[in-house]
Amino acid sequence: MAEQANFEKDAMQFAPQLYSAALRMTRNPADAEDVVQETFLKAYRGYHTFQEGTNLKAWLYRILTNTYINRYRKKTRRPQEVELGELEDLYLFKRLNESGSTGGASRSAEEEVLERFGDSDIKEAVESLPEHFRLPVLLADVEGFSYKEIAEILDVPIGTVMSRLHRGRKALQQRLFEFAKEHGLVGPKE
Amino acid sequence: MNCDKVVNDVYTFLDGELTGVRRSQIEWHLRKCSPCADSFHFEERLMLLVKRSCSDGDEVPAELFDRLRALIQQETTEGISGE
Repeated sequence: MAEQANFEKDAMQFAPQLYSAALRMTRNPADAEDVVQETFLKAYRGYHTFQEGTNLKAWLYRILTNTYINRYRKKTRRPQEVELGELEDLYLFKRLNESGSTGGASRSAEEEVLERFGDSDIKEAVESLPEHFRLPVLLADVEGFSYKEIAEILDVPIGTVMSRLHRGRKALQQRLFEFAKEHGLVGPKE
Repeated sequence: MNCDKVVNDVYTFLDGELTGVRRSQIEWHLRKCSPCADSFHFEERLMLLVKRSCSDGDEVPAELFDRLRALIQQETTEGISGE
């Protein structure tokens, strides 16, 4: 069991990461800070239940995620999410390949398009995902948690994590492709 | 193993969640099949880009640490005074 007196020393290092994650969840700095504060308070109060030697980061993310969901799920619940249908594998790669900005002669033609996205474009695309896709994508791609850890954090079966994560990534690619078209990052094939 | 089956496992493979024979089979396929290797590489680059874009550059409020410390401090004090 963890000592409550050590909480600050152990947990404070995760504050910036938790804040960034909260920002991706809530999409606004004031709400993000509220979520992080509530997370720290709950974590501090419950720190004696944390098993020392297990994954503190995952434990904190579980609290963060639950805090976010409890606070905002009702407020942000949208009319039944439109199902995207099944997007094909390699969605963006194939689209970029078809629009072949450099005619496909260069191996990295598709990857070059990736380099043209700014950080804020990617953030926006991630934040635009519906919550059931956004959380798994954040936890896997940004935080580097394993499927098993994400399953524990979100309290869903691993199969659900895989399905949402994989579909979420494709949905993200769809948004990025829309963005690339709007901003002329891809041109028609010459 | 055909390309469709390989591509179907792209995420479990890149996430390091695929082990054993299946993983070796895919590694073997990627060495021989450059279209698949390109697409795997692309997916990997995109995942890294997402990680980088979403981890860096957020302005963490300067007072966040102070506020969190104060919150814990307050909680500790209240705990001692036995509310």
